Amino acid sequence: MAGDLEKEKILNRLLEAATERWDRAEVEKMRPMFEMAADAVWKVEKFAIGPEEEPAYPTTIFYLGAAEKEKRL
Amino acid sequence: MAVLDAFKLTLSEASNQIHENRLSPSALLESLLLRIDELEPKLRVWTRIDRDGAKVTAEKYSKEAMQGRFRGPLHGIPVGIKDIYYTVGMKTTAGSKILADFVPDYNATTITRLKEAGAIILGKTETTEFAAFDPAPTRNPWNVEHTPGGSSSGSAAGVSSGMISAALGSQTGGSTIRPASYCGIVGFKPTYGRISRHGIIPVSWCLDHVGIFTRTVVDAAILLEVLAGYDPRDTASSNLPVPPYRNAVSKIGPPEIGLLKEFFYDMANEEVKKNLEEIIARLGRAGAKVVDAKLPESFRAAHAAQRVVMITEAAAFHEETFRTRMMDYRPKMRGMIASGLTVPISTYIKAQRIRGQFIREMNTILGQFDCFLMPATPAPAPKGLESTGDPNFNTPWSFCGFPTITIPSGLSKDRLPFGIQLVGRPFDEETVLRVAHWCERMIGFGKDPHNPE
Repeated sequence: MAGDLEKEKILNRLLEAATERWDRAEVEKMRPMFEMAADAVWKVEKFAIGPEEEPAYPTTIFYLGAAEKEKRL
Repeated sequence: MAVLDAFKLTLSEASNQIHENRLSPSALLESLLLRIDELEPKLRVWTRIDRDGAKVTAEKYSKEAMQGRFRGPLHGIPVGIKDIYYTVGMKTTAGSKILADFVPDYNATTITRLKEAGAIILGKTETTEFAAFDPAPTRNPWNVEHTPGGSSSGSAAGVSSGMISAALGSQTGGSTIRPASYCGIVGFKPTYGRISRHGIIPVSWCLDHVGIFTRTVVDAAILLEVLAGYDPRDTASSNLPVPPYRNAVSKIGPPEIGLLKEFFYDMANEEVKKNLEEIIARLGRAGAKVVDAKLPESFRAAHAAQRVVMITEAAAFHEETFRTRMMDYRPKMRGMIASGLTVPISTYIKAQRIRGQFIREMNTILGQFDCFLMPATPAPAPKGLESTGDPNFNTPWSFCGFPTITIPSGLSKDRLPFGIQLVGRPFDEETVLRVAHWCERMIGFGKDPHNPE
């Protein structure tokens, strides 16, 4: 499946970056955590998001909380 | 009740008795220490207990109580603290070799607030390594062959078994709600920013929350009232006013609840689904309006984006130590840091953009209801101690930072607890507590500590 191929590519990309820092055998031992990371990276990268969407800041949630409270007062 | 049975009291019951001079802090402590002596070898709740320090403080507070002097609502109440909170003079190891000899020279803001309210810091409870995935040795009081959940394993098992009536934990993914549900108690994660994280060893700055463990919703409200409020030492701390949460639980009535079936019904096992259906029917008969709610588009990416943010920030926090002490980390933590260090920055930023969208969309949908309802976990506590269970029903609410609470809702055929989970609007803990208290009354699970077999 296309998704599996894309995930495999991301996994290889992450493992390659890891072997630049650590011994390959050591990286292989950590493979299950890299597989989970690759799956998450793949899902995030393929999710379509609007160009107006900015990263969340702590104030995002404060603003929502304050606005909600004002509405109910 | 005999003094030696004082361990059975909830936080508010013990507090009332202390304030009325029917129970002394020393007698309460003695009862809890006996309970700990009996059960600790089976359950492994504590990394260290400050018996001498607690006894001295309890004696002092007992004298004060006799003179009618009370420091606050927690006067003389012993509490357990997850071993990631800075406690002056008391080792804080986060369940790791890395911090084996670390003794903080200041208290976390939460510890200071507990002490100012009169609480006695009894000791530090077991955690998974750095509140992540490598399990603690703690066992589930309902069946010692099962995990109590994690990462706040000791805090949940300690409250469940009556070693303490209240404890602090934390939640980045599902580390409060899941263990509370597995152990049949109340677990409460207020809004991100509501309680200071200053002096708590981080997993992920954007996702970490303080977690509260008690055996009743009223007790959780009392603790929130003590702990909440602005702290300039926490950059994410909110300066919104802190309402009197105990008043919220005194005005209860049937709520309007949005039922989240999508995803949660697909993932839950048959027993969990059946339990939830029974609970919905019971709440409906009692007057609650339970309506199906629809998840927003961004929910599809919430779990993955939460993971990206968590592992990338954890990697950033540990990077320097990891360079020289990689092999001192346990395997899952080592893999999490290593993989987090390889996540592209553009992916991290996109995960934060998804978080922004998710917060906005969830808030809009929640506006129609008092709370969302769903099971706290897909299944009761799994057998074995090698995993702390599945956090997937909790991670979205850590990701958006909304307040969430679990209350016990029944037992499986293997006599393991189920819990329901309620999610509320940001900074509206009053409604979450009010609805949870009403549900708690309608469900009637009970508040006694569980006696491990």
